[in-house]
Amino acid sequence: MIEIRVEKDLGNFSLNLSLSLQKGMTVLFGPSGSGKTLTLHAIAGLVEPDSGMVRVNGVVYFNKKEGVNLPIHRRRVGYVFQDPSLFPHMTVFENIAYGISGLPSGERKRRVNHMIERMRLGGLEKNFPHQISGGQKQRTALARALAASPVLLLLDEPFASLDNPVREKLRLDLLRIGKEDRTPLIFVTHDVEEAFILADEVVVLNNGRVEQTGTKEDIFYRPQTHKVAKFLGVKNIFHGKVTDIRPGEGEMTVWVEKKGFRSSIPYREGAVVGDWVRFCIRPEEIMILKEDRPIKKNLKANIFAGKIVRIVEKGAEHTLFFKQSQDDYDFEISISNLAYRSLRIKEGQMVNVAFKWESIWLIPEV
Amino acid sequence: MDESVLFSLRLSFQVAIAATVLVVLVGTGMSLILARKSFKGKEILDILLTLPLVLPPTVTGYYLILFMGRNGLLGKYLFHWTGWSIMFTWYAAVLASFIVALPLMIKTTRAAIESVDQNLIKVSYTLGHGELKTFFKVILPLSRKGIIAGAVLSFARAMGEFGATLMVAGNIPGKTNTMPIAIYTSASSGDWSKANMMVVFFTLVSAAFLYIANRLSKRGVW
Repeated sequence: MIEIRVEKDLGNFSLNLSLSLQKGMTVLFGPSGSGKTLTLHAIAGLVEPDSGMVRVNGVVYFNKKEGVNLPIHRRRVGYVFQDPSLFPHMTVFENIAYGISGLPSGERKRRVNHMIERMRLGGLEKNFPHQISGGQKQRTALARALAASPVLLLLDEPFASLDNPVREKLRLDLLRIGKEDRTPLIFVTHDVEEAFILADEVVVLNNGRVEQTGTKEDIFYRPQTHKVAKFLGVKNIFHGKVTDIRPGEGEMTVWVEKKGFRSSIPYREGAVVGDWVRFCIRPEEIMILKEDRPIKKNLKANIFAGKIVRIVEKGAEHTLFFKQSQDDYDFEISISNLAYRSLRIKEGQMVNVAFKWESIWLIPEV
Repeated sequence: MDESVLFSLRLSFQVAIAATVLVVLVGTGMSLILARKSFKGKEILDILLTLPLVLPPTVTGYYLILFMGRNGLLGKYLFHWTGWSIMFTWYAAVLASFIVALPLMIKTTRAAIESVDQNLIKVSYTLGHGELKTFFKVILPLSRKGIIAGAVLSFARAMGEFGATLMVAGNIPGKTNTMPIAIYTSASSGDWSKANMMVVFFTLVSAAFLYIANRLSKRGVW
């Protein structure tokens, strides 16, 4: 278990957070300048917090009050930077062997070879860093960090400078290794997709503070604040005024003035008419109604008539932009390619769209 | 060749090599401290170590007399405890060359150490190696070229050292007359043929040394 409670004032920026992380892959997510790297530095000992404590598996790494500040090299915290930072004067083999100490040379060699095999680096042992590709470099850096048997591995946007296909492969490598080694990993990224693929647990940082902590489903589908929703690129966020409450049915109605529509959303305990609320609906939860089909009862409260103004093809799905008001567009709708083909929608076409009120997420932050 | 010429040549090499060894050891250590540590008085230390580069060698020599002379600040204790004074021995020539060459070593080595990627040093720490091991396994190999360049420059400077050496080691034939001093003596006493021979010989030997040093540093071999 990793427990952190640190404060650090850098003049124009201050970090003040407290985290308690379990095993597995934790993703530290947040915009640039939110304090992600500084947090990693505090854990690794690369920066000394002004106050607080850092404790990993019961071992105190830092405690301001007790005057404990374990030097970096005695923390056994692996660190992989965005830049692979391989030792240029050492071969791939020597780089990986660098952090293994206190083992007889045969055992050491065996361990390095095992890492080389696991990280798909076979045949590159004798190469120097300038002779291998970016992806191979980062795999070597990962192998080097893991070969030292860290108690915790920190990864600071390690794949950010790699091409997409290479990045995807490396993510899979990392997931595999994480499962095999059971080494706790803390992964910093500002890439939403990466966060979603890798995370067991997500910590969203903003301006040096923790904005929300939770499983990735919690974070992505149930953002607690408007900021978290925005950082995660949550679509279809609306701000409206409650005009009617029906606690018995678990529903209430809001008027979204900016977009000029009324919507039925889940009732929030204690809400009264006149309250302002923020809610969102995921693009894949919005349905395009076929004219010849009867409309299901639970869709009836939220049906909108308008125009598809733009269609963007995104790999396995199509994103449609739906508009009924004067705004640029009102809803972003995501449908599978299969559904897209069967609906035969064109840009400019008039359609009816609908969603269930239950699939609306009401952002709790008032 | 004249016996005394050979002596001067040998002495010059002996002094320059001894001074260079000291310069490399002390200079690398000092460079490491100046490049990687921050402490009170760092700038003053930097200035003190650089001063011999800009001061006339005679001034540096004068300071050395003040410090190391028989009645000097440190020299008087040395004399009191051992009855020995460094003045007018070949050790004094080594000391003078060392002080004068040290700034050259520090300038080049410090720059080389500072140019080592900070991340590599951090990575080494996170892989469980402390400062000492990191120095020998990462910083030193990566600033090797700067250290070699500094050593070569220091050696050349030590070979050519004249002013400060004359002040502290004097011009004792067969004892402290290094080649630059012997050349000065010959020239000032009108012994042109001897001076010519020494100048040519000194030039050739120095050029040969620089050539070898350049080759070594290009190949990056210690």
